[in-house]
This record gives sequence, structure tokens and C-alpha cells, in this order.
Amino acid sequence: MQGHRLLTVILSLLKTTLQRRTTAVLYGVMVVLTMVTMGTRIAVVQGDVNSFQPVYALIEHMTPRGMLAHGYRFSALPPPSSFRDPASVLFSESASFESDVPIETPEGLLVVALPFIALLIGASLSPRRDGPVLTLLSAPIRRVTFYLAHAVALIIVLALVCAAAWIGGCTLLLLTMPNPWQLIQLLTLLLSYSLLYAIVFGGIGLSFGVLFTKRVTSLMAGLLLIMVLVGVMPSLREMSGRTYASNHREEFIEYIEGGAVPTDLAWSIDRAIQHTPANAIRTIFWITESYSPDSRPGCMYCGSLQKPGRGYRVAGGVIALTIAAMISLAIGGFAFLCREEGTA
Amino acid sequence: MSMKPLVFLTTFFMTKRLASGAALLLTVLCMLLLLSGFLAAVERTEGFASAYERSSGGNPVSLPVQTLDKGSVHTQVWKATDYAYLHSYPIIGGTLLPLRLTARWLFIILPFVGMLLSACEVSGELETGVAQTLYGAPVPRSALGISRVIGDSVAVTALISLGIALGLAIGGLLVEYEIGTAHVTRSAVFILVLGFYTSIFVQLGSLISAVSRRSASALWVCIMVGLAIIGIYVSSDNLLSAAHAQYSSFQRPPMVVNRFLSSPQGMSNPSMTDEEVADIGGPELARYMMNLAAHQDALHGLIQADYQRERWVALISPVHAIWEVAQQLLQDRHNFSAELFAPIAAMDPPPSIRRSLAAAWPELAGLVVAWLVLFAINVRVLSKLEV
Repeated sequence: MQGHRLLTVILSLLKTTLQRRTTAVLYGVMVVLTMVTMGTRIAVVQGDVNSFQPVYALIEHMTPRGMLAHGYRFSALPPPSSFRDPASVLFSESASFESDVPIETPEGLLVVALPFIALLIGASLSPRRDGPVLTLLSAPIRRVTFYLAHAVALIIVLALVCAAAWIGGCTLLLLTMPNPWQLIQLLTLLLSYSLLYAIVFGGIGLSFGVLFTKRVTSLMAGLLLIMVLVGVMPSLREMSGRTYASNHREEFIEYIEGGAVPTDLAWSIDRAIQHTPANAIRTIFWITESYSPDSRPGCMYCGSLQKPGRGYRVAGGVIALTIAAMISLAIGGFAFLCREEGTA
Repeated sequence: MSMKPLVFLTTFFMTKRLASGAALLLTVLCMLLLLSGFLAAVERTEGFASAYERSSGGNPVSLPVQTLDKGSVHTQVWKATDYAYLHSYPIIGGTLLPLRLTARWLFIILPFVGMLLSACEVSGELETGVAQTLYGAPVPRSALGISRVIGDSVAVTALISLGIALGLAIGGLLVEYEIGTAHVTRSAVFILVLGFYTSIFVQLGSLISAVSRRSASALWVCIMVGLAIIGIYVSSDNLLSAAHAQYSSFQRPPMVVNRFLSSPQGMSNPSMTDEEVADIGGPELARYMMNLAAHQDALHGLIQADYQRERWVALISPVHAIWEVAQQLLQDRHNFSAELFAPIAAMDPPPSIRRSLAAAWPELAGLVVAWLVLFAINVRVLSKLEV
């Protein structure tokens, strides 16, 4: 009986959400957005690899006397031809997709844009006092079933958003990947991971909608959390990674070469930061689009953690995202269940 | 129209905005972002310092080379300026570097923040019935519209400025950078421009709210406008990257140049003239340096032309408009940011904030025009609002 009611509420929520004109426009915007950004990025990657680099220019464009004054040494530089776009580096290392050009996904765009969309969808689907919620609450339905229905409806709507985003990307990937089966495989992976990422922020929207009575306050609180998770954490990621690599260089190199996993507190903190949602999804996208178990090669001079090796695996990021998604949905559920009758 | 109700209503709308919980969150948000910029600046300068030690055998100015993504000339100029600050010893740039490291993120996030702040404002008043009371007051409707827009704009500019200024103050206490008056002035002007930039989107959100009349619809439309802004920014930058001229690298230096530059004479005598360098290094070195100077000039011309051409994109991309202002204001080494690639002798007269602002005047004027146009439309729509 409860199952039937659950289905009824889900269908009712989906009907009201998907029938809105704005939702249709949002899907359209996502398709066009990913198509355009991906197309233009492919155009960039396919350009001349001996492109202009500011570091070379800094040196080349100083006067000879300036160079002497600063003690620049040409011999310290690699030849210009050694420059390769990171995507090109991955491309040459990943023949698995048999593509003619490097596979470029708009991962940067999605990492930034998806949280905002998911937050808004979550907030609008939140069981609040407006809309048909009170009427539905008066029906003989358990509160937990009622909240679960909202969570399921949220996941379905977010899945459609992610699908719209990847349909835009898919059209262009068809041009670069001759094997449709591999394309489907790649898109299924990307869709699943981006959905997991979107649920984290959709759950935040849903939960904050329950926790805060005013819509604008819940949105601003969600925005603040997005800023911390998507804006601040990537900065901390670099800082923590480089600090660890520079303070524990021997242990770190031993680890990435297959040695023992460090056990100190600094390592645990660093791992926790590396697995916050935005950091985890970015790494997952990089690994997936390269079809390689390793992340992008990075700068070891600066102690960057992007060196290929054991440091990154998709599984760790996926587990971290799943836990984050469950927590974000559970907070709202717990708050909703603790509410007084009729105050939803 | 009497000024008294206008001033009263402006103060009312401003106080309402400043006293909200969302305002506090916005201030904390800006502060956090800037503090993350400080963290990134400290970590990166330390990273580069340790990289020098490791890669250069003790020579503190020998650059470790990092591969970079391709990008438009604007991106290259921006990154190269970051590098110039990060590679400096002792560290120069003061508060400009942390601001630089967070600015591009702020350009994307602030449109969302501005629109979300006001997306439920007018529509919320219509939905709750407050609008009927408000518009029933014995004041001209245009006064309500004008005071709302001005009150909101002033409040949001103040909140953004306060948040970022707090972040700068806390960050400034934590780092050991030398922070000069020029850094503070440039940072302060930039923060004010940033607040003004956000107020444009507050107006846009208010307009969307008034036109759609329903909070839920207004929020959706605002998110889509925000997405379109990001999409235009990313795509146009990609297109510019693909379209700019291919800059050739200069020939590898012959052995004589490497030998000379590594010699004690080459390393330790900055006051040497080109002739003296040629006398010591011989004709091959003199020829190399002459060719290098010609190459620099040609390349500098190409870079300048491409940079100026790219500025037109600000007509369709608000992020590019504010970015250009940041390019000029958040650096204190050149009168025009792309001069970074020019020969050192060209840095005359000395850089000043007035020259930086003058360099970015088309974009600044564009932002002011956008604000005024939205102001006019908002006042008209709010005056004719059916309640």
C-alpha cells in the first residue's frame, strides 16, 4: 500500500516539475551549453601544439640585459617542441577509444554548473509548506515514504538534467569516436558519475528547503556551501597536496611508486580534502575521459599530486561521492521526520 | 517628485537588505573566498620557492617550467602576470596576488549570487500580498522603483566590499607580504567595481522577478541566465584561443650564449651594455641578441593586436568585461597589462592606478551603461506593476 502511495507522490511531483516550461528550457540550455563548450574546446585542442606559452614569452621578451641581470639561463628550459597540451598527452597515452582527436569533456563547466542547477531543483522539490504538500500530507502516508518520494523524484529530474548535458556532448563525441559502443560506454560512465555529483547538491537543496523556512535563506545557505565545496576546496586541495608532497617527499614518492600507504594524520587530512565532491568528480572525469587508470600528469617540481600513480582511483572518488550524497539527503529526511505534524 | 519619500524608501530597502540573513551569508561567502585566495597564494609561492631549490641548484631565479593549457591571449597575459608575482623574490604584489587567484571564480559566482538575492524579492511581495500594502502607500510608483533599485545596489555593493575587505584584512595579518599603499588602493577600487558588477545582476534578478511574478519561475530563469553567462564566457574564451595567431618560439640559443649566460661575467654584471656584452661574447652572441630583439618586437606587436581584438568579446560576455578591468587593476607593474610581454625598456612612464583605469575605460563604461539601462527598465517595469 505504501509502495503505491510512494509511486503516486513521485508521479505527482514529476508531473508538476517536468510540465513547467522553465524545466524544458533548462534541458535545452544544458544541451546547447555542453555542445558549444565542447565543440569550441575540441577546436582548441586540435590547434597547433606549438602554441604560445607565457613562461617562454616571459623569458624571450626580456631584453638581453634584463636576462643577464636576472641570471636567466636558456639551458634550463626544455625545447619549445616539448610542449603538449595535457589533453594531447593523455590522448597519446590512451588508444583505447580509437578516437582521432583527444576526448574532451566539458568537465570544468559541469563541475561548476551542476551544483547550482541541482541546488535549485532540490530546493524547489523540497517538501515545504507551499504547493500541494499539505494536501498530500493529510493523506494516510508515512512521513518517511513521503520524504523518500521527494528524494526519488529529485534523482529522476537530476538524471534527466545530466542526460541533457551529455546528449549535447554526445553529438560532438560522435564526430571524434568512430566506435558507437565505446561512446555508449564512456557516456554511461560520465552520466553515472555526474548524477552522483548532482545528487550531493540536490540533496543539499532538498535538506536546506526543510531546514530553513525562507526560500532565499535556504538558497543563500546552499550557495555558501557550494562556494566552500566547489570554490574553496579545490584551493585547499592544491595546498594540502603540495604541502604533504613537500614535507613528506620520500614517503609520497614511495607511495605513488607502489610502496606503503602513509598512516600519519597529515595524510588522512589530505585524503579527506582530495575526496570532497568537486575534487573527487574532477579527478573521476579526468581519469574516465582519458580511459586510463591514472590522472593527468602534473608538475612534480611544485610537489603537485597530479603525478600518475596510485594516488587516484575512480573507486575512491565514487565511494566519497556516494557517502556525500547519502548524507546530504539524510539531513533533510531527519529534519523532516522530526517536524511537528502539519508544519512541513 | 519630492526627495523625502525617495530617501526614506531607499533607506528602507537598503536596511531591509542589509539586515537579512542572506546578507550575512553573502559577506561570509566573499570573506571565505578571499581567504582561500590567500591560502592558494602562500602555498603556491612556497611551492615555487622549493621548486627553485630543487631544480636550479641554488640559483633563485632560474625558472622551473610548467606546461600550461592553451588559452586566449587574455588568459595567457593573466597567467603570465600570476607567474611574475609567484616567481618574485622577495614576494611582490601584496594584496593583488590573492585577489588575482580568486577573481576569475568571483566573476562567475557573483552573477548567481546577485540574481538569487533578488529573484524572490518582487515576486515574493506579490505572492504574499505585501506588494498591495507597499504600492498602496501615498508615494509615486516611480519613487518605489527608483528607491528599490538604488537601495539594493548600494546594500549589495557594501556587503561584497565588506566581505572582501574583511578577507583581505584577515589574510593580510596571516601572510608576510609587504603590502604597500598602491596595493591597498588598487584592491579597494577593484572591490568597489566588483560590488558594482554584482549590483547589475541584482537589478537583473529584480527585473526577472517582476516580469515572471512567481518566485519559482524567477529562480529558474535566473539560474538559466547564470548558466548562459558561464557558457558564453567559456565558449568565447575557447574560440579566442583557437583563433589567435600562432606565436612562434625563438630559435634555440647557440652554445656560446649558454656558455656566456652561465659564466660569472654573464650572471653577475647587470649594468653591462649590449656593446659590452657583444665585446665579451663575440659576434655570434651579438647577432643572436640582435635577432632576439627583432623577434621580441614582432611578437609584441602580434600579442598587442590579438589582445585588443579579444576585448570586443566584452560586448557579449559580462565576465570578460569585468575581467578586463581586473587585468588592468590587479597588477602594478605595467601601464597596460599586455605590456608584460614587451621589452623592459618600454615601461615608461611608471604605472599608476589612474593609467590602469584609463586602460580599461571601455569595459568600465560598458558596465555603467548596462547598469543604467537595467535601472531604466526596472523603474519602468516596477512603476507599471499590477498588484
